[in-house]
Amino acid sequence: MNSEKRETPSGVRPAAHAAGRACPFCATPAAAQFCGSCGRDTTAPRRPCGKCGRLVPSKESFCWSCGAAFKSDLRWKVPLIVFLFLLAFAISIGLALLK
Amino acid sequence: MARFKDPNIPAAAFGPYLEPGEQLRHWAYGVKQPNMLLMIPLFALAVLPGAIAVALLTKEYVVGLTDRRFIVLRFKGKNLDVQEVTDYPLNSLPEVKASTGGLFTHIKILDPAKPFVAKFHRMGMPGNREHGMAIEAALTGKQA
Repeated sequence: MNSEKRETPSGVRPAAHAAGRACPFCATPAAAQFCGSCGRDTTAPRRPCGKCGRLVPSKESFCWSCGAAFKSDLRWKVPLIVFLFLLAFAISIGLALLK
Repeated sequence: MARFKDPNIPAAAFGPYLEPGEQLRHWAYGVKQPNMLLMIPLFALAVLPGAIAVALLTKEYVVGLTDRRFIVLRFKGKNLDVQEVTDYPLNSLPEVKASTGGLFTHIKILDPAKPFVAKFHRMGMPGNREHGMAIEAALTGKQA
């Protein structure tokens, strides 16, 4: 198996931004990291609102356009995982008792 | 095995996030599994619930390389329901570590504000390995 590791020559290069770039949140032309109109970081991770479809910074817990709240998937995944393990233990104990 | 039989489906997901005139050159499907220190106890406790837990906690990504940016879309579901969009301008790219083995291409972006790590299986979609290696080469500044 050929495995070749590659790295960039050295750390972070100076920030630069392409001309004509628009703020992903308010669509205002933004030449800098922070939008001059809405003040948000134009390079920040963002997510589309499930209700209105507009992009919202991932750190924000509410859509600034329609007010919809964002809920983490872990809210239902963690209880489901715990339930599956408890079910598996209950089944294994039940089978052990039947023997 | 393949997550996407048609590679144009993940490519189409980038459409709404491209800037005017931006060209998508390469795209690939990848995953980020939970930490191995979590996966081992989960499997040790119970195999089937452990496997389900790992599947539930695995994050799916499609990544795209354009002429200007490296774009990461975290999604869920068959219909590519995008959950999060992260982009890294190619002219101010943070440190990148990448490697290609027999099965996987690993890409890790060491950005303190928005770190990214994922692995790209060669069977993820048709051409996933070629796209993954091309992205790796572009991000690390080496020739493929």
